[in-house]
Amino acid sequence: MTLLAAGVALSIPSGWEVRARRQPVSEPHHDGNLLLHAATVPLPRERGDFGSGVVTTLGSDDVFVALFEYDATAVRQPLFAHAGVPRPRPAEFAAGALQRPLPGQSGGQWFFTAAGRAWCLHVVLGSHARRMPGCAKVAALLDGLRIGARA
Amino acid sequence: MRTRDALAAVGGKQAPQGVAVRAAEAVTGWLATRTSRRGFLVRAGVLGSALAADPTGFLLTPGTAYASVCGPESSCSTGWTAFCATINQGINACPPGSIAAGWWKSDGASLCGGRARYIVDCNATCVCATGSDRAGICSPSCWSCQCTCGPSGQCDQRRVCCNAFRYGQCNQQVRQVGAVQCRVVSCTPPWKWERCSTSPATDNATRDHNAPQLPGAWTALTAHYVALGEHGSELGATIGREAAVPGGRAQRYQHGRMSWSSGPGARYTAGAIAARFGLLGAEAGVLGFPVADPDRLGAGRASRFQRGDIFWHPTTGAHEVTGPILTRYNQAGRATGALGYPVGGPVTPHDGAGRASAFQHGRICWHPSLGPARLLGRVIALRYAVLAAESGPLGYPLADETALSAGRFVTLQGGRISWSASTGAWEVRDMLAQAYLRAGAETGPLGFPVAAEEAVTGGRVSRFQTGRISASPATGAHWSRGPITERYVALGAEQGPLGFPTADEYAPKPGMRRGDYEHGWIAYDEATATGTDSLTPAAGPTPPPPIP
Repeated sequence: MTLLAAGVALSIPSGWEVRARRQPVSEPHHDGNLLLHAATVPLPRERGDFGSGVVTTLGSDDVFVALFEYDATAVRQPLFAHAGVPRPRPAEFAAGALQRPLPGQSGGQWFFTAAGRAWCLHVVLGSHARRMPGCAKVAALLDGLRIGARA
Repeated sequence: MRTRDALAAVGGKQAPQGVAVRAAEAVTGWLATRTSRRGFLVRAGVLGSALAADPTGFLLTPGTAYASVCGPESSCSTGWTAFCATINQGINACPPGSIAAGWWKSDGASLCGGRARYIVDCNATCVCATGSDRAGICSPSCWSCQCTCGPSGQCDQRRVCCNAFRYGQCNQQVRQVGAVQCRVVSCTPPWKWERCSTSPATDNATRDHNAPQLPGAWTALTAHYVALGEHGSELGATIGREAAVPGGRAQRYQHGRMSWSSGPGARYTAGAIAARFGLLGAEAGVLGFPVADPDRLGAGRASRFQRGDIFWHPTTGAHEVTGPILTRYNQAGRATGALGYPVGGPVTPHDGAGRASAFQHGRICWHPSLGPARLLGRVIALRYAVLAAESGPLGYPLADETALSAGRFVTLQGGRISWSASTGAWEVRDMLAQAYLRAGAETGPLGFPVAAEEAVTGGRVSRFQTGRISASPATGAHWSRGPITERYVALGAEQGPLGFPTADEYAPKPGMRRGDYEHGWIAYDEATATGTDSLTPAAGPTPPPPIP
């Protein structure tokens, strides 16, 4: 199954639930930014953009991914200087790299630009100790991600 | 152990801060679980905060003291970050060494009157550049702060400088920042007051997170602050929480103060005016509550209060004007009128009964037994001040300064001060002033005074443009002018053989002028342009020579 939303295509691997929506319009003459959530657990209706409401439900083998788009003006900023969808490595995850650290979990953030759009990829692993298989799940998800221009 | 596990989860901090975190968590956890709600509050010293924040909820609704003051998930082990007000001397702003790095909102927040509530992460700055640029976070060894829990003695025990996370909408020109040091809250979108983009992020789970040093329930003060733009207003960030003051409530800010009472409602003061208001005792002081927001007057400002106003200008500072003096100042056009700004606060003269205020271009004086306050212009006020003003020999003015075609004057209890462009401002006192009035004062034959009154042997003298008034206790004060005065001066005036005048100059018959003195007289025939009048001694051994 493939999700198509706002210029982004994602082939959804089995075992993942994915939701995408446009954020409220924040810039004149632009559509709302895209927010995509993917998790190996059910995504609750009420959840924070970077995972609150979801991450507390992660088991040790579960993963939560947020793909958060910024206003177009961010593209030229140094924070988004890296181009292309990142490929998170296990060594890049840290227990403190979370909006809200929870026991056993770890996470990471990657700011980047793709298709002229500014993004943050945020990944939460249910268990830092099991970050190797967690990373593999994330890699499988991102393999199916294609970012195009704003639709 | 839960707290130890939680610490391990954030990663990374060794003793001593790790010890601090564990100790704080242990204490707060023990308190939260082993004391009653009210008992905890008393021990933690936050009973007032809880009652002020949500009195009904606190007393009637089951729940913890934490929730009443700090909202849910306020312990260190919950993983959330503490509020800046908790660690920044009550100031709801990023502390030094941190910058805004991102924001999110919680919709429908009661703390913002049902609006969205914005939370801005203040991330530590990096003292060195390390790690992956893609994370936007430098290595913990480069953070400008150290991981710990919120300070003891209050309920916002959330983490400080522990979470290596960046929301990413703010200061995007900064490639790397440190951990989230603390959080700022606002009901105003951050892009209106910080270097942030509008990219919206939402997390409603944090809607009710709060701290003892943050504004609590939505009040008239909060509503007015929000309407002004909060952090983006001239008030800056809140300092601490709204508090009760006699007759109302008040909230402090980085650059001002807001006060509420049932009459005027919520009004603010800012900058030097707020500082002056504070020095005067704020709401409980002489001025009472502000009754309006500040007026912008070009480069200056004015704030009105129940019992006076404060005016500020960069060149004069902030000074209050009160009572009848303010009434007269208002009539004169206030700070943008002829008087300009006050240059000092009200002063009480030596009599202890009156008041006076000095302004850039004049002075207003008031005494309870002398009717309304009186106004003096700049040059006359300067001379008045040289003479000790109300505390000096001239006393209080009896009327406003009066304009003449050729100058100005003011009548005072002890005399008058007269000014013209060619003579300057000079005083004429008591019986000399009475003689001056008999002569017609400034518009009479003497014209304006040209010098300060002088003491001479046996009496006093005032000189005028075309004449002179001399006074002694025995003779009183009398005036003369023109040729009579010239001759009198030529003869040595008061110290000469004629002595002091015994009558004002007069006309014994048409065309003749005469001055009588203790020891003689001077006569002048106006009909003879040659000046052939003669001087005849009334007494004394040596008659003066005739007028040439």
